[in-house]
Amino acid sequence: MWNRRKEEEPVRPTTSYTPPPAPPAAEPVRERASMSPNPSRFDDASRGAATIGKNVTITGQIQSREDLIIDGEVDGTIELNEHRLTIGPNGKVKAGIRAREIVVKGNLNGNVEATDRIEICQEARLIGDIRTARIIIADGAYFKGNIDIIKVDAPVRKEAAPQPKPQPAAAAAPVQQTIGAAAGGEFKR
Amino acid sequence: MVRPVTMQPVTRNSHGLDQFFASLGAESGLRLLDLSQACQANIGFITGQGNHLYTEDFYESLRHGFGHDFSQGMDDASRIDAFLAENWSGRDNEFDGALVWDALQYMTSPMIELFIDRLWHRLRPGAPLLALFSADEKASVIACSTYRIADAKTLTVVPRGATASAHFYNSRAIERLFQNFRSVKFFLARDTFREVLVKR
Repeated sequence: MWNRRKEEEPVRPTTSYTPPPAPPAAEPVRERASMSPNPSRFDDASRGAATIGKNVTITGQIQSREDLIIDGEVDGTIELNEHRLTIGPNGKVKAGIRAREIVVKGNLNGNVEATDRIEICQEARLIGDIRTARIIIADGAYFKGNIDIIKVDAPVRKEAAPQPKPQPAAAAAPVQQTIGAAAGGEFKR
Repeated sequence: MVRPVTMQPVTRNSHGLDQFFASLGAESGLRLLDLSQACQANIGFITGQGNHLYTEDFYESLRHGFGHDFSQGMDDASRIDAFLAENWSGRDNEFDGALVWDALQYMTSPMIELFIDRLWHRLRPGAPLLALFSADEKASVIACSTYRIADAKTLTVVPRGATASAHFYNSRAIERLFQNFRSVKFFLARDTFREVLVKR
């Protein structure tokens, strides 16, 4: 009885270790900090992110240490230095933003800095200045503002730093590093 | 006879575009203005050369400022002032070149003169400007297009709609519009465009 917790722990293999298949799994698993009753309507890449639902309005400063989806209204500043921000199709954001990656599907008014990339989807509307390493803009998107490209000589991803193990599953990390290096500072559709 | 407006993308050579980039030289870090709908091709090409880009979908701005039939509202001085204050205020000498495309042919007097005057101020001396005008004098309807840079000499013209021709600008009228600029150079094409390269 007293040792139930220990007994329920999974038995760890002692002879081999299979690494997680995708790089995001290298991050610690976090509880979902959802403020929306239906946060799962976005694409797979947004899974595990905190969500500000479409009936939520926030005025002020947002600082997040995990990915964030905004489908409501935000007026202020947003900082997700090492994480991804998605502005959903219902999102109306009036803010200065700093994040690793920004995906705009709704309305954004403000200057943005994305250290990795920014993606402006079809039907999105962005008015403001962009500073980023890479930009992807879909046909039909509306953008008005300056674009300044940050030159990245050799992007180094944290998850690519450990030496890959000989198992086949570990091959995902070097492949991603190759793609990142090829696309760094350039714009490819 | 009303000539139908084609809605298919067309890839064409552009001597005006070629001369525009040639006049910029090999210098990088320039700040260029693009008044077409923002697109991956133009952003990639211009920033790929190490230059900065300011982009504004001017066709959409006109529709937003003056309504769908935007040529009708351009005789209202207060609306013009409000539009230019909201969309077209900026620093003097801030651009090293401007890709205006066909934005000017949607405008009528006095809007077009005021717009070009602001453009003159926002370009640095010697900066090139590329504009396209319809060469079809009898056209009552003109295509509104997005202009995508395929390379320094090639454009892909992607139609996005059509609008009533606000005014036909012949060569003499175009020269008058740019009378305060240093030079005006025309490039005649086989299609319905007249390319104009202007130096501030």
